[in-house]
Amino acid sequence: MQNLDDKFVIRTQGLCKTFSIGGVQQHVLNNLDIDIAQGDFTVIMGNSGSGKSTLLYALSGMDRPTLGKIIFDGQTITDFSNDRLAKFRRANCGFIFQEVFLNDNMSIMDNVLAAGYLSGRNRKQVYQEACERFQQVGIDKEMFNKFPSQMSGGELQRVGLVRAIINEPKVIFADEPTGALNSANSIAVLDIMNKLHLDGKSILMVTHDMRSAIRGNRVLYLKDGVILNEIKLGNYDAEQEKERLDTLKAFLDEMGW
Amino acid sequence: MRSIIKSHFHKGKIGFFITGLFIILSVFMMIIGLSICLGMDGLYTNARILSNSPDCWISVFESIDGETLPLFKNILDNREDVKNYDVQPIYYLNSQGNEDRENQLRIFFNPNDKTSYTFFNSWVAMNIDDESNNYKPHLRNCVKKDGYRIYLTGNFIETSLVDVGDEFTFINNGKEYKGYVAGIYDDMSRIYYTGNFYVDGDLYQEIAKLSLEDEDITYEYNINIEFNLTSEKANTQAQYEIRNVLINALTQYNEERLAKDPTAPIIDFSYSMREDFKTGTRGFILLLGTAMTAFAIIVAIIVAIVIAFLVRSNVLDEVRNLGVWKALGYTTLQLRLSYLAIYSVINGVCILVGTCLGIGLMPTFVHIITNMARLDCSKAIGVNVGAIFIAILLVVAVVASVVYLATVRVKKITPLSAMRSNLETHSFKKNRAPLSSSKISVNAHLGVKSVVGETHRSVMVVVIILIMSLLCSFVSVVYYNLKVDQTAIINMSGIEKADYYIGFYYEDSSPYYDAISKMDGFEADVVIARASGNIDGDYAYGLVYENFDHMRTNFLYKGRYPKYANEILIEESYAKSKGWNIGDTIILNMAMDAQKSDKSLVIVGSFQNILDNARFMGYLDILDELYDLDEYWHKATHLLYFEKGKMPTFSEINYVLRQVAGGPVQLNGFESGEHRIQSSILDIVGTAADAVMSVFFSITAIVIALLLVMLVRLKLLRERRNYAIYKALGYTTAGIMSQIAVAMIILGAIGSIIGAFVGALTTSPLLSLFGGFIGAWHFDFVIPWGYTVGIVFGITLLIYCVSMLCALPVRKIAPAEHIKSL
Repeated sequence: MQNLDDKFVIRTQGLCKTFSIGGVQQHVLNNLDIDIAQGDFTVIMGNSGSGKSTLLYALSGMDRPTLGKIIFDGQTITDFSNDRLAKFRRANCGFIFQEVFLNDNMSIMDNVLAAGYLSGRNRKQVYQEACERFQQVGIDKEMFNKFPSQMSGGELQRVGLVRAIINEPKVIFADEPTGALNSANSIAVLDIMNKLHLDGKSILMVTHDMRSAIRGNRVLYLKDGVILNEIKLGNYDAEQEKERLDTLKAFLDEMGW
Repeated sequence: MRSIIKSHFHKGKIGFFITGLFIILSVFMMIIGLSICLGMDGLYTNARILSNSPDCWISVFESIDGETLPLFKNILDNREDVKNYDVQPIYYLNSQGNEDRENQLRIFFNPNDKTSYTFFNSWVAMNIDDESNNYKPHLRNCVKKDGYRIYLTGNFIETSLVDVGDEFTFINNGKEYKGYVAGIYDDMSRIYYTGNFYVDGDLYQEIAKLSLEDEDITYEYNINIEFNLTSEKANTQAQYEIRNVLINALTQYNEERLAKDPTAPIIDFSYSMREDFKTGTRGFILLLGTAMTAFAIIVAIIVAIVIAFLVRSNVLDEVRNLGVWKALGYTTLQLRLSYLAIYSVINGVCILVGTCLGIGLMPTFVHIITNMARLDCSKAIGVNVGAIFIAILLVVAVVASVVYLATVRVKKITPLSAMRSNLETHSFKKNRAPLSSSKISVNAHLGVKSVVGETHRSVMVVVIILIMSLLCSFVSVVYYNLKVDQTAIINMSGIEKADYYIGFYYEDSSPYYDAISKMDGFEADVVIARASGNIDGDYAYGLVYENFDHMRTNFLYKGRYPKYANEILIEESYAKSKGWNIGDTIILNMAMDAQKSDKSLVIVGSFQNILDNARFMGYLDILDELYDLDEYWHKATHLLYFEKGKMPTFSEINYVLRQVAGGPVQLNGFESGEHRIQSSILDIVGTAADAVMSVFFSITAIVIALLLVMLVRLKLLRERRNYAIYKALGYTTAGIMSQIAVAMIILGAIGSIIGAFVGALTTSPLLSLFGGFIGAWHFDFVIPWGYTVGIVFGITLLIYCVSMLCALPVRKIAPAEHIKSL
């Protein structure tokens, strides 16, 4: 029988997160129990302020829950010190943000290598891999030494993608990755993510965009800090995009979105 | 406009705070430094008033009822520049040279302490309780105990093992008069006369009684003279002039006596003026004042660099807002003036604080300075209004011009360009130090990238650290040569560093010199004497040597030592002022020479003399018409030289001499050359060196620490989001802190290496360039490379510690807070 920790890359138990804003306690996550399966492309949806991003950052070890336990790849990361968490993140997590958050003072290659060299792998190998990944996302060698301010939004998000996967993370966390992109660039980025998913990567994405959400095989709906419901869509197939969109729309309508 | 100024203020609090501290430091130091430099003349005038010192005094070696007193009184009565003079009766107790009076009339300090007792067998007693003395000195550090009281000069206390409260015993005919050192008396004109003691009225009366039956206690007189010239320059001229007048009068008087009776003894006198004190202390006080002013100017330059960096960075960060304001109708001038306004406010507040600090701390600094000069006159110099004015003007001009120039970029910002995400303002032409070529740790490499990526900041840090380390290196070279290896400063002192200076009171001292010459390692003994006379009509004083064959102090500046009796060395400053060169001939006439024979001497070289204790040096033969050389030889001071490593101790020489004498020896001075130099110059300059060294090093540490605090805090503010991303990617807090520290260390190391080494190499040339005013024309200082390397390591270590401490808030950067949107 398969061990649960082998099946689920992330599991939470009684996850709570409370913020104190102006002396008022705000419970953003309420006693959440979630399991994220290995190899799933999980999408978290919900209204603004529902706690989507908070959940994403808590699961990735970037933020600490107020209460509860997070078991990531069999390790209870909620017990880790900040430094151990940092080292854990560099080995297991890849991040894609809406604003990309590249360092403006470094070339795009350096932005990727700054993450890649942390893994402690052979540097030549990391560099080669970065070059290959750039090629895969459509960024040519001539652009490697360009700075973020010299690139378009779509190109930047692809750089972000390369940075997210350079260390072969167990899970890629994506926070509104297409939020700042136009339609064409959004599709290009989502296509890459789907390809990564098909290659076996676990992806956890927060979005409020239905066209992005249908790229996942599982959609969780978060409301007032609890998972209200979820829907399984199966692996993405471009030809079934309309059906997937309808199914998701019906699900979201039901959730009161 | 007010809202723009407020916006600038809120965004740059740390920068403003640190800049403000620099401005305060600069203003405060400049006010004190300039006040000292500009108030030098006032210092001596006020110190004279505060210590109630006469401008000069004459001590005549003749009984008070002799003929010279009316002679001098007549001269002084007829001078318009003499405000007042006082005849001060004194007792001169002298048992030296009298072999039958061993232990007679001597005064012993700490008589029961075998290791630190000091005695005088020739000394002067003055009455401190004499209310008729208009120049009764200012007393300080007074203590009360049982017994007779005696008061000593601050200089004697500092350079001897005697302290206030110590016991003394005055012995005569087996009777002991016991008492204690009751305090210090401040008298500028007597400060270097260690054998002149003020005693209380009771002891003075006891001595008076003894004098009636003891011919070795003579009732003599001093004349204290005060001029009515308020100008320090005129007063100084009068001090020199009256010396010449008195010398000429006494010479004439002696001539007349000798004409009547060729066997009559020549009446001599000693003359002292507060100008001697001025000459001995002016150099290092001016050095301290100049050093503080120079440091203040350097801090002002640092203020300029920091402000230029802050304003420029702010303009770059605020391109969008500036564009918006322009769109709203603000003109370029208004926006530039908004920066000027905020810095004017900060400048104004800090100048006020700096001025208050300067005024408040001035007495403390003056106290330190006058204490080093062995006086206690904390009110001798007040804050100079001109100094305040100059300091304010300079700082205002620096800040205003730098702010205005640094905002020139505002001109180029247009509303449209600002809205286009600053594209015009960010130009990254080259990816410097790419990570792909890195061979070092990622954190270290990111530190390197930060150095090459932020060139303006990097240049600013390097320049500031370069300046500070250059100064530290400069000061450390000076310190090393004043305190550790004093060869160079001794060479400039004009004092020969023989192993011993010794003299006897015997008519025939040759048995003693014979005994010394038989000691192991003996090399030579050379007679040295002080001489004063007129050179081309001007009074000049000098030193004459039996020969120059064994000189260990190389005080030559140009030329060579005299080889023949008709050759002479002239002090370089004096030669320059007279326009004399090597090969010129001068006419020397010994002042006390009754025959008035002129000697024609050829200048063969010049020497350096920061003590100003000699203007010429020549052969002893210059004196041969005044003294019988053979007789003189026995009582004169001799320099003793021993082979290297074979110099005997005091006790060893004393033992040999006692064997010859068969008991105590009648010595007319016996001290090591090292001690003579130490007490003459090194004690004073050493104290100044300690003070300058500690002030410079402390301020350097403060400036560098403040600079780093500002830079690291600014960096944390600006790079907060990047550090959050780094943390998200898996960088640890320690890793990010080390990135910051590495960047600072690189800049610090570059700045300190260049600064320290350039400073070390340029110290001697720079000092030689400016040292002429204290009589030092050629500095040949040893470069202490160990110190130089130490400065580099010290500054780098300081930078590491401060930047790591300042980077501690990285711990609090939570990645999620800076990235997520709820």
